[in-house]
Amino acid sequence: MMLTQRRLLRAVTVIGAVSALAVALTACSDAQNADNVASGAPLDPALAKSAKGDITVCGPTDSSGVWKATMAAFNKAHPGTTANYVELGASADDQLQQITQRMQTKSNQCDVFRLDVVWTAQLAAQGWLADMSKVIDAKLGKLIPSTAETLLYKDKYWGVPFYSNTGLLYYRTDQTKPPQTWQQLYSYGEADAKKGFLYQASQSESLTVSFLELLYSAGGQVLNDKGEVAVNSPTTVEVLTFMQNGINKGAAPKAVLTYDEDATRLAFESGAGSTMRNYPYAYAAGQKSDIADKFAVMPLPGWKTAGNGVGVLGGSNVAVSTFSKNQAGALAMVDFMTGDAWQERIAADNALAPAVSAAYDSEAVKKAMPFSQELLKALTSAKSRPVSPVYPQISQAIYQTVGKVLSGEVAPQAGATQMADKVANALRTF
Amino acid sequence: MVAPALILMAGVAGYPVLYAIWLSLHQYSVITPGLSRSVGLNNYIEQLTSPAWWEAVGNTFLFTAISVPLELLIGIGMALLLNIAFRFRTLLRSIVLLPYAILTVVSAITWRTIFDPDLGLVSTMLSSLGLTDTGVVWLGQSGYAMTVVILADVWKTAPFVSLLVLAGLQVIPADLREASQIDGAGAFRHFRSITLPLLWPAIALAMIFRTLDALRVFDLPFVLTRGAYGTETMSVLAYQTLRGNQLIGEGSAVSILTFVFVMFVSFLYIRFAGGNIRSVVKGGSR
Repeated sequence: MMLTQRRLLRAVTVIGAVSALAVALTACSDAQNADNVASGAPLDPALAKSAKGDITVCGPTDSSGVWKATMAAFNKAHPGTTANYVELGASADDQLQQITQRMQTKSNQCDVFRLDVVWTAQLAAQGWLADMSKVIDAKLGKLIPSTAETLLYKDKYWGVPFYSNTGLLYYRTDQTKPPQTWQQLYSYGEADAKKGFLYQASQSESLTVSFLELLYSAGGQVLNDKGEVAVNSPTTVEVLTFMQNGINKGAAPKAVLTYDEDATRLAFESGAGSTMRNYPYAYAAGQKSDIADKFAVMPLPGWKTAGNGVGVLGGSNVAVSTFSKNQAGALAMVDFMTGDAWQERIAADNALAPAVSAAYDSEAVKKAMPFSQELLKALTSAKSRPVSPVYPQISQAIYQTVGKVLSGEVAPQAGATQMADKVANALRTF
Repeated sequence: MVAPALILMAGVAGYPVLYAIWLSLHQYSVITPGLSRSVGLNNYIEQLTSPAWWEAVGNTFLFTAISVPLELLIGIGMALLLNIAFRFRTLLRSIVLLPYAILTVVSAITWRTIFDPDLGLVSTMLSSLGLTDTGVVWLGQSGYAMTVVILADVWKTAPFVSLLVLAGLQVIPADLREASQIDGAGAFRHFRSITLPLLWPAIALAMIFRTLDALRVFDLPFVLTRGAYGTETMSVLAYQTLRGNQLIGEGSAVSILTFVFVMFVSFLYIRFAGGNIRSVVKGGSR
């Protein structure tokens, strides 16, 4: 008995020693790669002309086929090069993890990455993205200015917009008039519970976006131009009060508290409300539903006064990896993707919102997206979410607080304070 | 002699735990790659003073305290029924186990659909019975959301309890029933004085399994509500901090705290229920 105990003790000591050694080794390797933030000269757009060799583009699981079509078209137009597409997963979280893992090991597998618009700061801060300021400068006249805004971090551009996205207002033409203001929009449901406003309020990024669109429309902001917290404002309190009253008075059904984009769309199609906030994709789906030809699309309404509200920008940017061995090829790819011809094609074939404004005048695009002029208006006035390396924390601070306000657990005034505290806390992350 | 096994254990179990502890004593920069600083117990102090952590602890223990007893009661009831000899018993036994065979994530998505406020089965049924005029937003209100999470867990794991208890029932010799009948015991008396004590080891085992599983519940709340409306458990919080917010040090501290809480509860169990198992087994075989 004593013997086994002593043995056990010795074994535990061995485990401890082995583990401690391993920990120490990891510590050393961690200390070694403590190198630095984004550096290096901006890429020269002229480099694209000398493109040759293999180019690898890494992005989402290609369910719509747009990425593979892009590769095929690029290869046809550039006989000397071969572009391949690597799928990094269906969800944004998966893709970000895959990108991070590759970058941490300085992998040169991917020359071009597809980025969610909210990743710019996070990845650029790590020094993983090539400076694309000169490329954007050359294209700025063609791009819808707001789309380039999502790529701006520390006064430099870190990629190029491929396609954009923003919130639109869908309304039932057989039930309501197009609302001029958010206040008018909310009055529909208060008058008749069956004609409420459907939007995304499940506690996730979707709710952050729903809140920001109201906040931006009302002239509020989360961070000011210097990057300081500016969310504890009377505007925030006003917007939170407006949203809370909206739920309490039936302007929006309580069910929105569980809605993501698709649940919202299904509810709208089943007639649960007369208006809906959703992305352009819901248009094509709606045409196949029971309410086809009974709805129309417009930009989000103004706050208190008529006019365009402010949507939040989504979509996909493309960036060049700093570890790429074929930056000339990568530039050629990026240039092709954002060229006028290809921008028209992705709109006509895949109903994606082009980042280039000229594409909206094309007949093929107007045919594929009958609401293209409304979409262009919405995109022109849209704004990006706070650009910060700690955006995930900022977003969480927003949706958790707004969720508590909507369910009545927290008063709007206290909500604004809590939100500001949490955002300030996130900004202190070192 | 046991060295290879112990080294293997150190590699797959010891190292990750110690590494997580080491991580939890540091803060990693989200902004500059590779930069980290040692912060001592700061991450722990921050968590232990944050309302979010204690809310998660409360949610987890509430979930455990309600779901485990329900699962035990229903599981034991099911086992007793399945132990009675009748036609199609084998078929019924496999059917009863079905919920346990379904992946938790899949069953969670199913439950989410059932409790959908507009088109869900429950809302439709309640409103067609005239109990509610508009759909109840189950997953969008505190209290209601936890109810659904508990319901989904009970539905899924009561069969698991019944399986363990059924195995316990099958080893009780049939002649004990005859003996107690001869002594004039009724069905209830027989259950209370013979079946239950002999069944106790199986019940205790099921209870330990279920409690430890319940304390680290992640998949159900994550899929059903993403931790919103009073369903954020310790594991969901750890995930949010570590993966969502990429706060490696802080997230590791939450994981370690979760680990310590679960360890503490299992220690209590082995201390008390464990002793019980031995005495019951001894008493039973006497």
